[in-house]
Amino acid sequence: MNIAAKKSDLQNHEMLVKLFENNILNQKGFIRNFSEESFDILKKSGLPGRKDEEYKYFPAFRYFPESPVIPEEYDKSVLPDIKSELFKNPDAIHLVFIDGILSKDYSNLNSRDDNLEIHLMDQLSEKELEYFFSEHLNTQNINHDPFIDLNSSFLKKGVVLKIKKKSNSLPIYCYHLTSSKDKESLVNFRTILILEDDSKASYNELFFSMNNTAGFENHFTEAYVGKGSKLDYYRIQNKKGDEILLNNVNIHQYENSLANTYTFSLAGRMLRNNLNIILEDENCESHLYGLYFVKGKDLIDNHTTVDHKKANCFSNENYKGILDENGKGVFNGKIYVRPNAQKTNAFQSNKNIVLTDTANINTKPQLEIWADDVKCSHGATTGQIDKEQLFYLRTRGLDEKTAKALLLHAFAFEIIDKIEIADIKDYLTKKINKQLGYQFSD
Amino acid sequence: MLKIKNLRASIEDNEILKGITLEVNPGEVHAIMGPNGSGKSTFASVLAGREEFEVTQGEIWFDGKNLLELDPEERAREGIFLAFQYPVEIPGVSTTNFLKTSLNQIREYRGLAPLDAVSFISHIKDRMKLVEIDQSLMSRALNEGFSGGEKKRNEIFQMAVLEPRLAILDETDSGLDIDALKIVANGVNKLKTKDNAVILVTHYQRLLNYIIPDHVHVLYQGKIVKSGSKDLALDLEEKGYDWIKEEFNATTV
Repeated sequence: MNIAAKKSDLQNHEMLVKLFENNILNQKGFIRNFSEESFDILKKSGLPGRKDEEYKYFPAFRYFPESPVIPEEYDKSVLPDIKSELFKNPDAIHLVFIDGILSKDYSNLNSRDDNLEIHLMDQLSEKELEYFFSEHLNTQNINHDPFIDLNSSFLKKGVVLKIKKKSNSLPIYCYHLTSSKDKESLVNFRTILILEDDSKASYNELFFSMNNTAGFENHFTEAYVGKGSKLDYYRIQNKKGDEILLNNVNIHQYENSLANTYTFSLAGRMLRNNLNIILEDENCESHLYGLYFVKGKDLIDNHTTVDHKKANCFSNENYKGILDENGKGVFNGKIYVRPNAQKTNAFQSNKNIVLTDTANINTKPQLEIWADDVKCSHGATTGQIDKEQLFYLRTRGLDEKTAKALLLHAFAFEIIDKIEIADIKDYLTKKINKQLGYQFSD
Repeated sequence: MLKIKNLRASIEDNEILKGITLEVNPGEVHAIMGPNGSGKSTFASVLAGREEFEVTQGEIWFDGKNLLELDPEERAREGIFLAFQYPVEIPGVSTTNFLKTSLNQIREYRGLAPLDAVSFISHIKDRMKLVEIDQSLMSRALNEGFSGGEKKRNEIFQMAVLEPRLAILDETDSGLDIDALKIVANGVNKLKTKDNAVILVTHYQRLLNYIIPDHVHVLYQGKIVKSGSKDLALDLEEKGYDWIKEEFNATTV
């Protein structure tokens, strides 16, 4: 018997197993089966341990709750503070979840938008839920992440959003806030986003927290971008507490679809983004933009995969990072070009500026190409602020601090400039300029 | 205005400037000439405060202030301007934004209120005419994708905007065709007043046909080995630098 193979099962997570067993008693039918199947897989694989290559720099195991508790209600005292963090756009859908629980105070669930269906998972009938899952369930991802199984094992909280055929939905803002101060808190949240054929949507996920929050948050978003559809997907993460955020996102694209994803990580004690784009059909186009600021003792880890399964698709990835103080950053970008995916164009770039001797970044492009008629390129750079540029600006009277801010602003704004939604662009411009100490405008 | 006494400077223990003494008064144009590798660009860089060079000996006084105690930005705010031999490209920073920031930081240092948008634009437009520069340059990123000639013109444009007391032009003529050279020289001449001064660092005499120097100095092996009037430049054009080298080597041996 291979003893090493047993190292990563759930034997160190007795309380998690107990929690699962108690939890499952209240479930029946589809959810029960689905959860049990998922938990069986998890039991075999275990949670990623210290030797897991994919989690080499992200020691989730060290901070996983010993005796996890699933919050049943949130701390209402955070409500007034939240209000200022929300976008004001009145012609939009706003969904506010606190510790995974819908807050009715600021959500407009019953939208007047006939093109959009919104369902809370815990309010769907078993049949409806089964329909959404069986219709769209697609876990045959090449990088199957155990945290997805964990999420499925505790399936309960979540939302299904469906944009109807040939329609444009109002912009959707989905806020995920943390109020829990308990480091044993475990939130599993599931989002299913369906764009039926020839539809358009902008879907914005915002992860905020108040001060002194804690816990482990495990989000999984699956998006299906139907034929001829366009998805703009913005994620903004600004976590001020000690909580750990694990964010799996799988986007499945079908023929002639376009998906633009933007991942802005402004702060987070431990943030892990697994973004997987799966190009299921021909003639898909995909853009992945990312910008991360890592400072203090923050750890921000972006793992992305673009899986070219079929021919004639285009993907372009551009991630940038600024690393300050004792911050740690990780970028891993996988591109798979399957044997069928001829005429693929796939590009990837990751650039980093490291501001201190104690900050660091691990960046790793990983291309696996099985087709022969493809154009692929990747590049990764890590450097400091260019001394020659800095000197040039100083000889024009700019003090060092301003000159640095101007250069960092220029570095970051290559990504900000790609944002197509005005209020998100404004919001990020303000936040990022503040972060950089940049106070000038064009 | 500028008093340099026995200036010595090194980079990584390699001494480049070996005792330069020079005085520049308001209203004067000085040309620093010399063969390649004589220390001309180092001299320009040290005046602007490039930190890679270590000043090991000597003094630089500018309007009564000890320049060696000032950071590059403080020197700029005191009125020193270096036109770079190789202007740096800064993608993402628009020329407008950069110049506004620059001008206002200099004004703030001098106790002046920042320029409002209208005054800034009219100042910029006025200066553009001086160096015959196109407005489209303003919205482009600083020097990004500019040709060699455009970069040099942009340097003189910046000089026109910032109106320094002392401008140091480091091989501004290199890489310019004759038309661009005339425009640049014309701009420098128009900016000339009795209160400011220019140091032209150049390898060739060509530029000095258009900007007439009051003094010409020959730099060789980190020292000023000969000074004279504008005629010295003509001699150099005709005879090259060899006779200077021979003279220098004869006296040092």
